Amino acid sequence: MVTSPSTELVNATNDPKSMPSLATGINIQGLTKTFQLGRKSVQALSEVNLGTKKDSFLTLLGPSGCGKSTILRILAGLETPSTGNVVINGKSAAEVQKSHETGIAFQDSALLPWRTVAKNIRLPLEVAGITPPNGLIDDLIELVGLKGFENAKPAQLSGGMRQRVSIARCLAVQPTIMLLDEPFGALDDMTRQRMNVELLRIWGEKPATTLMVTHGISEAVFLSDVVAVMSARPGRIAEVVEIDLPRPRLPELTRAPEFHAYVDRISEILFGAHGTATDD
Amino acid sequence: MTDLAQSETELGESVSLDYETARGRERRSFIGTLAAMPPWVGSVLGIVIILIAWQVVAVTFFAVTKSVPQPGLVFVQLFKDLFTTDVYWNAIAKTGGAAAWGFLWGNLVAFFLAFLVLLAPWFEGLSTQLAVVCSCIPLTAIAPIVTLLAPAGSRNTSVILAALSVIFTTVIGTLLGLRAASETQLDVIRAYGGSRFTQLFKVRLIAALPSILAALKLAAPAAFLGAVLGEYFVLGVDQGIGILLLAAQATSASVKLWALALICAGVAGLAYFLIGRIGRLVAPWSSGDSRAGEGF
Repeated sequence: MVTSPSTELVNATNDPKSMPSLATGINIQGLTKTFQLGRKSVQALSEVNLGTKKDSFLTLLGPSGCGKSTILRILAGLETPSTGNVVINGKSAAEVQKSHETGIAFQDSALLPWRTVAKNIRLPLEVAGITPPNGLIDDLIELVGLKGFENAKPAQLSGGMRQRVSIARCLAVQPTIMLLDEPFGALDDMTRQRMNVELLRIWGEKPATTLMVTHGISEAVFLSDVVAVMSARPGRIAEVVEIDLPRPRLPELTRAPEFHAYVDRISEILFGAHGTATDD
Repeated sequence: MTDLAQSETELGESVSLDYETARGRERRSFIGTLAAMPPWVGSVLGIVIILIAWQVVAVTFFAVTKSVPQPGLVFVQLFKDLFTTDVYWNAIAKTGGAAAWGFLWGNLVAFFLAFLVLLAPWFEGLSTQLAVVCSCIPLTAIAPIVTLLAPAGSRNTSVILAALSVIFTTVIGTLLGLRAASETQLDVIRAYGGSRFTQLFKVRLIAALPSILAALKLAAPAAFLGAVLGEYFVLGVDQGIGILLLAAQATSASVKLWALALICAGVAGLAYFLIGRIGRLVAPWSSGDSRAGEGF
């Protein structure tokens, strides 16, 4: 019999207002978002409160359409909240955007097909008007394991390699905040698991306050310090689960009983105790 | 079903089966030999078939009137005139010059219309509508008006007809191209603090190139044919492909007419080919080009 994991939160909180010490990284207070679609208005987020410590890895997990990506886009400054506010590492989303400290990666690698791997990685620096320090781009290419492909065009790379480029591009600004929107969602299962191990290695070398959005439960448990489980329509945080597993985490961990206990617990929150999906 | 009927169907099926497999194999092997050949064999084969059909039509249906002359005669006339006189070369230069000016002005107008949409998206309806109008108004109705407005001896009619012929394709191609960048590519720029201008110069304009160049490729032959048509109307001008066509028609010189038709096709085809090559050089990543990156 596996003991149930601890439910006391020490690295995160769903009440950042009264516990600011647990919200030094991501600090989301009273966040709501309503989209206007013609005459209809759709509430994507209702009252999201969430806080994590600086340099921790937070994953948003939930059914599709629960507003996970909306939270990420608000943190990236790509959407504005209807009410509430977000603070990351003590700065507002606009400040963070202006100070070029955010690295972002999407499910679609969104590489520019006319640029080589090296030039795609340099793109955020060009946009930010920063001259990259000598060797930074080469280091990044090596870090994501693409040495020898510096001058390849995206069309010549496989899906997994393109995603590696987009991770390297995300790291180019040496971010203190990383926003990952299902970065490996379009990859096959095997590549995805390998990429997750790599991501963890990279993140271990360059820690940053990270928010990842995903559909994969075991992926979330494997990577995160904190998993925020969301429920849909309107999106809200159902429960915050801390993953108290030792780092560095290796693939063997996915066969450990503690790991499965977390996966089971999160599945229970997502699908209900009796395994029925409650997606509405 | 009776036994007899059943046996008949079976027999029929087996016969048709044999028949189809045999034919199928034969067909496959024929296609197989074709597929194994280099691609230029197909184009050469096509030209040979056209020439044979042309010859057959010329000596059967038009043996008396000679309005479709034999290809041999046409080619002899064409090469003789091309290499012994400079009439055709002059005509190509004059008409080609007018076409080039029309191509330039037409595309400038088209780019202006398309880029208005960047300033304010609601211009899109207006721009497309103007482009559609340009492609819908009958050129033969515009030409006399322009000729009346222009001084005698000017080639303005040719230039304007050439310009009108290119506006539609370039506007549509450019508008499509400006939408070619994906939302995520633009989001990446914005997330790193880039403005709408950064998005435009780093992503949207470059992403638009393949589509714009494809439109220019189609517009080039259209400009030439517009310029030729314009010469049917111009006054006080005595050089140009259109003028030669009119003269050949007036004297029922069918061999000459066909030679001129071949020249028109040749110039238009060359323009298409050249701009296509430039496009491949400028935007080698453009999709659907298996030889991307090789340049010329």
